[in-house]
Amino acid sequence: MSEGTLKATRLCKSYGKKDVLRGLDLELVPGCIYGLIGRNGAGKTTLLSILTAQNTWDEGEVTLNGEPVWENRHALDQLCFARELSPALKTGGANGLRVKDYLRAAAIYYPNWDVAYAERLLKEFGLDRERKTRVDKLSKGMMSMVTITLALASRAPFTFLDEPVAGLDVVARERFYQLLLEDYGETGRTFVVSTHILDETNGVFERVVILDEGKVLENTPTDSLLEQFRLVDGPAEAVEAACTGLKVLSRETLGRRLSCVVRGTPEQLAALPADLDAGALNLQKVFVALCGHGEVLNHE
Amino acid sequence: MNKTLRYFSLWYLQTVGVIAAACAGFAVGALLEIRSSGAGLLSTYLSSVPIMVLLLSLIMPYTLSRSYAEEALCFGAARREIFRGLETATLLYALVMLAVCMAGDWLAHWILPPEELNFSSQFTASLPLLFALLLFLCQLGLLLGRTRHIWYLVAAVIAVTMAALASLIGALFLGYEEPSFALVQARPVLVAASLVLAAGAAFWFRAKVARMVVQR
Amino acid sequence: MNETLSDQGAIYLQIAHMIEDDILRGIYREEEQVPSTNELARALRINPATAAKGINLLVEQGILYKRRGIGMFVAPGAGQAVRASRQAAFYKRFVCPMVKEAAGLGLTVQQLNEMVARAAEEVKQ
Repeated sequence: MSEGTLKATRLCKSYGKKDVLRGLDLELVPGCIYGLIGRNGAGKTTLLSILTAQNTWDEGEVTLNGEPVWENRHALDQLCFARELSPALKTGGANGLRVKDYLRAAAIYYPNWDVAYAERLLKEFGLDRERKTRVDKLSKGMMSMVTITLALASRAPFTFLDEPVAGLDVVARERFYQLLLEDYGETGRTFVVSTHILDETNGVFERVVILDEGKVLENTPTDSLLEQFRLVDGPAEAVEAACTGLKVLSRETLGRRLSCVVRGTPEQLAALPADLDAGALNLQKVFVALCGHGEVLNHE
Repeated sequence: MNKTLRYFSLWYLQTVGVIAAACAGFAVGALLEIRSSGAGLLSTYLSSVPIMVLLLSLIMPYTLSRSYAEEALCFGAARREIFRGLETATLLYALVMLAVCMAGDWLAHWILPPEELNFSSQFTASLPLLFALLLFLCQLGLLLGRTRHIWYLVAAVIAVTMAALASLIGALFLGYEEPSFALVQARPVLVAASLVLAAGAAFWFRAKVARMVVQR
Repeated sequence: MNETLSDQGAIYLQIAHMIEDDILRGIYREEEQVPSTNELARALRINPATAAKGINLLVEQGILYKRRGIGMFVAPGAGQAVRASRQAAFYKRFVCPMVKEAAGLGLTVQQLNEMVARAAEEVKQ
């Protein structure tokens, strides 16, 4: 259903003196579920809005199937950016609309809009009763559900979701992942989901894009990324010896005990002594190991 | 049909309906008022319908376009398309407002005694239309453009608005002061010239904004 | 196949491992069909592509094979193959760490062997 690759080349964007994107290169192949992860202020939302031509950029280009995306009706028809709605975000645009009007507008603008699917999702999320409510008057969880409804029912070949699970409780989050996978199973659309909450995205994202300091740090299949990391733990000298030749990303000492997060090829990691090999890491830990440098609080 | 136009039509009709209903309300109120106690507050409102429409034509399109343009952008519409949709919607809106204006004026003439009529006739022209169009386009440029030329746009907004206002006031004055014979002869020409100038400025500005809107 | 997946490490390897376990336990016998990629993905709430990767790994290793239009089946001799590879890995995964741990605790090889024999007895009962 998707056609062509969405490509960003040498993207630069700054807001005043602040450089958000610094020569970013990204290639998104169709038919994949991507997880877009990065710290607050890493530029996730900016990137997504630029990829969908909703925001301008300073340098570089964005193309879909070789054609520029900017002002290109044909390309725009294939993209859907489901922004995070929030009462505070005045620039969210559609916040003043009622739920039913919001969906009517979506039906006008998205050429592949699936009305029946949208109805089903509304009922499932319990938003049926809230049709006449203004979007910015909904609870945080319901706002997320409206975003999700928009994203899924748009049936756009490239669909971008910005923090879709913010404000959803655990049960609702699980349901979201199920719905996402069901839709993907049916249509094979490309999804790019930007999220903070990594510990339950187990196996949902086929590929993961890590954004750090305005650039793409990693763009790989999730499994391949996880296979490259290990926790090595034990007596300090033994651990140091075992870690030679491997890239050490973090060190924690507790007395004579040393814990290291290391990175290497699967072959190198297989050669680690079994008593020091404390096991593979999950995506959250890998992300912290890669991007946990710098200030604790990044600016938004 | 242009998507943005369809989108706007969902709400503009509501807005127009509300305004038209308000005018009708004033008309009925004025009628009743005159029948019972003579001209009063409601009659004044009725006779000032054109002025109110003019004011609304300034504020309404601005407020509506501000949020609708951004919404349309969030739904993935191309700026060019939003721009065109806004233009057409504005024109239609202005035309309808013009009709409301004239209807209000006609009603006022019909219901109220001559001494209660004020400037309403003077305003029943294409001026609300021009004002709405000009300001709309200017605001659109400010919203969507996100251009580096924002100060240029602000200056242009002020300049063009002033020019239109000046020509308006000029045309008005020529209608109200005790004119000399020469001026009376010249008045139609002057009014026409000022309208042409304002229209020319609007079209020129439109071209500029259109180019800026689609540039990065 | 009700085990929940761990979020640590590659998922597709866990899938492959899970199916191998089930073959060993006799849940899938030779020439029997295993769940399709989509069924697995739905049950485990994972990306079908990841499920496919796990299954394809087993196909490459000759544990499963594909019957066009029908699905994935356990290859003949798969049980043996899984057992053999697990046996080969057993030494490195279990025996070496056990010996090292025992040495670290000051247990002699003889003591270790006695413990192994005792444990074998207990398992028999």
